[in-house]
Amino acid sequence: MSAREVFMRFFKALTFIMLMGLVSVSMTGCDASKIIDVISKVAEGVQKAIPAVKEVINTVSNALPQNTDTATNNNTATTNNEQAANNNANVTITSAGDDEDVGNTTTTNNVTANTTNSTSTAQQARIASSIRSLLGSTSFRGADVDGGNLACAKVVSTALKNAGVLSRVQLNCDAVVSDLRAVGWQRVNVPPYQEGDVVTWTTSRGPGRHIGIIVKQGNTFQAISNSSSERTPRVHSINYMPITQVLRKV
Amino acid sequence: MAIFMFAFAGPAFCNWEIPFGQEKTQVGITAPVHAEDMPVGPGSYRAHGSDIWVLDSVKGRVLCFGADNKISQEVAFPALGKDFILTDFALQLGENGEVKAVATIDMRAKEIVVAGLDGKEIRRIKAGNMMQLDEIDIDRNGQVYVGDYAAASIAVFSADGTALRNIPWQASGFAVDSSNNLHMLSYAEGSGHALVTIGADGKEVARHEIGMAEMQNPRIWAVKDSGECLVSMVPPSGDPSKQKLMLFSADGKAAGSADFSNPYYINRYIAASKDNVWLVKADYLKAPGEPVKFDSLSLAK
Repeated sequence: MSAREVFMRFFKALTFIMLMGLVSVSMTGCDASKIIDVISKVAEGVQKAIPAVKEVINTVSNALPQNTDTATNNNTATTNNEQAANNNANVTITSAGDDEDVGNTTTTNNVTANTTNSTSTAQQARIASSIRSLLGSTSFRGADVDGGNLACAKVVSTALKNAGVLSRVQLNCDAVVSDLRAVGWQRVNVPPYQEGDVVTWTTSRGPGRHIGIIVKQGNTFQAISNSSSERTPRVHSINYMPITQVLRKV
Repeated sequence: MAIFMFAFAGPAFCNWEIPFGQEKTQVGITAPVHAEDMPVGPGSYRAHGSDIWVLDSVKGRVLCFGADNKISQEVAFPALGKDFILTDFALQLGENGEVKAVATIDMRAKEIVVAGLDGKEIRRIKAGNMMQLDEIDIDRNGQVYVGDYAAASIAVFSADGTALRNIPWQASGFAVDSSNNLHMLSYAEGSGHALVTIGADGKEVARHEIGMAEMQNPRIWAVKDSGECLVSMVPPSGDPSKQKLMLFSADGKAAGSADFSNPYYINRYIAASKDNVWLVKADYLKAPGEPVKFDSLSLAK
């Protein structure tokens, strides 16, 4: 059982306790003092239960094998601790649901998180470098992308393929997003932005109809995406259109 | 709680409303033509005195609306190429602070066009070596600065169109002051952001640390004669369109701020005159139904 599952069980139990509390309230009627008394008792019970739950989580976490990346990349993780810590502080992982944000999860294992982040940082740099190399390219004007009119997904998936993230080039935004999710990318809350993030925008045709990759200069985060009118990838503001979602390898 | 108003917080008397349409007094709007494109409307706005100047990107001209909301000036850029893409414009001021010329950039043709108020071409500069032409400013002597997001540099051209130099730039806006100095931002890991002043000869003349390393996407919008700079940044959390607009004294001290949400599809949406700051309030997807309006921003400390 993973720590996450233990957490989920804990929250389910908490929900049950709260429901019981509500039932108690309904049984006692609307007497304010009784309601407060019941709520206090419920809260007290939850507070008492927390240390026990923590203990269970720690026991389970210790019993589990460490992440393979952690074992193989310990040195990298150590040398990149500062940067990773910064990244860590910035990351909020949201559930992978398509249209709804259903709660947030924060990483609890620092070593694993640091290693993952240092790996991610290298990947982010590769992605940014890959998409930058496509700036001004005239290679995305074929019939498959309507002469450059519909090339955003091809541009992004080409960059991701060249960076070793994806194994194939796609011609529509949803397919790129789906492929990214299949290799562990997740929707994240922005800001803060990170170089290498993949962003989709809501166009006049609907949400997620345009896609690009975030790049960085100094502390300015912009996006590179295909421009239909110029029929080539170009750099522009991330916020030039409403953002649908931002995906990141976490 | 007392609120102290600082510079850029003067009374806002202007209530401009700019309609869309085909008439001469209306600005153009083009619905998304290409699959991935946004609607194209005015790409840039600048304030000067009690006037608002608008880059009518569709019709290839600049319009000036006075405090009475009437057009007091129209400058049609001469000999623009087919399917021009005008991304930004700048006002060249004279010795007394009056507008004497306007300059724009055509991203498609990779050209800079400077025109007098009568619409006659003063200078046309070919910028074929640039990757993108994204932002422009012009000093009182006619020296032109053009920001290139893709190359991360500002190309500097003399008044006669000679390419002078490229200044490394972090795509964080820039502005020229009345003494012909260029103001820009620089970020370094650890120390955060700094206000940097560069003379017309390309030499750095001042640098003031302002920190705020946790903030992202800094952009300098305007600089006053006193050296005060107007800078926006994106806070480290919250809605992606929420930003903080801050006023910094000439030596980099925070002197006031205001929160705002940026509009979409517009390159230059903060317009600052000597006494006021205006935020463009427009949704080009709703055009021509809703005109362009403006919100006055008060920068309180």
